[in-house]
Amino acid sequence: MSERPRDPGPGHEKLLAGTAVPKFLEDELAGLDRALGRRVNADPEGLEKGLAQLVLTLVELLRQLMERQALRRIDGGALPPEKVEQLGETFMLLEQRMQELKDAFGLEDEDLNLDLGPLGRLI
Amino acid sequence: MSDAGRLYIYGIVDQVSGDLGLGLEGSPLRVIKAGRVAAVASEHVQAPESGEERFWQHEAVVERLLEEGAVLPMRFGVTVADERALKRLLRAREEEFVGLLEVVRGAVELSVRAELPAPEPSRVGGDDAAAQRSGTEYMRERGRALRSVEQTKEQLHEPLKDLARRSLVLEARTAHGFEGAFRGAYLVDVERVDAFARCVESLAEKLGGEVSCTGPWPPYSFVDGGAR
Amino acid sequence: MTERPFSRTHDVSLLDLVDRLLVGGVVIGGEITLAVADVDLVYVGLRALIGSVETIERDLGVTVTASGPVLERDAL
Repeated sequence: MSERPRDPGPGHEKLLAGTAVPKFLEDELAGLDRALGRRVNADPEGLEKGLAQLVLTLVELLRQLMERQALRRIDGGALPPEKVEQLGETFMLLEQRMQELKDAFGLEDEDLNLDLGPLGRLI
Repeated sequence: MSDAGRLYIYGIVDQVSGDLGLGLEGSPLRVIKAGRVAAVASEHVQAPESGEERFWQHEAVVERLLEEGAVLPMRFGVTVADERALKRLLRAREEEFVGLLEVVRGAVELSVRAELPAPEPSRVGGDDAAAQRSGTEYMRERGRALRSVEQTKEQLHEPLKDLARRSLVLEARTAHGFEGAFRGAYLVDVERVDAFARCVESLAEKLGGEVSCTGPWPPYSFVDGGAR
Repeated sequence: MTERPFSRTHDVSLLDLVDRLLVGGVVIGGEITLAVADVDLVYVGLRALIGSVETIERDLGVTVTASGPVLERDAL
């Protein structure tokens, strides 16, 4: 039985439940398209935007991390009320700054996805 | 063998029957035994290139092996210099591989991705009420949101975990910065795949989330025995 | 508003395949060859390098459960 490996077929034959192209995966799928050889150009503007995306994504990641750490400390009762207030104000300010940066680069929330997460376990 | 090139590995098995056919780039598949396990490989002058088509071809070979029995799928891109090197590497981890083959025998991997409802964070600068919040109120809100989402994730994961031999909750993110994204991998007995899929559908409806479940896959996520 | 110049031709099956092939599976010999033809290695590298909050939390030894957070060791 010397046959070629079979062609992939439509791909969604692997779908068992739910949607094949769900809205919540739009950005992941767009990233996949870009990565798998569908890069049409290497325009400088695109690269610059890509870099901004990367930086802001990292900042966003750190912000979330710090926020969770702070919440844990608060839940643990380890922080006095003034400290909680201060932390909250800091995070609100940080959120505001992030928004300003995004506006400056013309990025939306969706642009900060950058296909993170699913392969993160190689860390 | 010395100048023959690289051996590209697809998977590790303990039983193989018949002619396996062709692998990547039309190179014939061969079985290289070492002790109680064997590796399935094809020979190449240079390591095969990556790419969508190649990914599906690699997958096709692994699925063929899965039809024959238990298989430990290799990550894409694993090459060794020659048969001697391969046998040495197999023998070095023979016990581990034998054990893993038992773990996965008769089961397949299913992937579940979901976006679960989470409280919308009120954006700073969005409305006046939000802008008036104190820092303490903000933190309280964030804490509530976080806990609520974690709870919903467990409501999705727990019933699926019960239908699986093994399970992994993996990271996921959505674009919006809140933690509504879920991703899990489940090692499920072949006979339970249908029940699992139906369970995913009903859970998604019950929890008000969007979901995608794919499979059956060879057990990629359950075979590296602790390296992840 | 960002432009989306690429049409989306792939679906979640390919996404799940790529995640498995590039992160899962057995690795022997310690050498992975991703000979780049059609795969943007920056994409792959980024996915490899950048985890989610959950990954980092796990590496820091902190977990969150519905019943409450559990600190396994001092973090940050």
